[in-house]
Amino acid sequence: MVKKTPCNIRNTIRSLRFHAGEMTQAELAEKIGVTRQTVLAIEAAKYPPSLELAFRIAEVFDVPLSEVFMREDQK
Amino acid sequence: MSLKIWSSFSNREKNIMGAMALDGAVTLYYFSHVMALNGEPSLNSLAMGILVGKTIVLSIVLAIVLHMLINGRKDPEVADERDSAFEGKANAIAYVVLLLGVIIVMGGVLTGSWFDAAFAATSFINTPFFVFHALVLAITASDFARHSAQLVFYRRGY
Repeated sequence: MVKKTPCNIRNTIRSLRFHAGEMTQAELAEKIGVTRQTVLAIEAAKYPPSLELAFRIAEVFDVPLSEVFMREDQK
Repeated sequence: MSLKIWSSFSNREKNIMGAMALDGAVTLYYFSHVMALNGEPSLNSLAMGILVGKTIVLSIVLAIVLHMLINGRKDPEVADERDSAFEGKANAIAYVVLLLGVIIVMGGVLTGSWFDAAFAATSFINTPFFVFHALVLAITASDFARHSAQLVFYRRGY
């Protein structure tokens, strides 16, 4: 059974953080100007970020936006 | 156990729950005293004014105490886009609740004469402050809905 998530956009932030020297949620939060709880919610797909915030996250990891966020039905 | 559950909430959730508890306590205090005043010959503008003044002072004192208990000496967190988004959605829900409350009060005022006989025994309805108190209840209900919605969004997301 597929677990239903509150929003249908998944992300790779957790793995990107891991590959960026095990960056903590607090460090990422500080770089993009939000609270740690917001990073936690985005990672858990409980909150879809604004386009601007999504671009800021992609810029932190220096990857295109499509590598950070993708639709649930997208491979 | 309860401490573990409490610590699982974020600071913002704790503040919202504190605000809900404060609203509940102040509403209970106010309406229990209004009921006590009700029916007495002394029910007049002065008595109501004193009660409203006491309620305002009580709510300010309780808000300060709650803020110190929840936040300590920490500065409150700056709201980010998620907080604003949740607040906006919660405000939309609260608006609907407030509108429903106002419509019910307006309906009650308009059709009041139909129910006079039925409500004659309920002196609270017959006080000159009925509409005022009904609106206070509508505002309280909408505030409760706003805080509840925010808590649900913070817990479950949307």
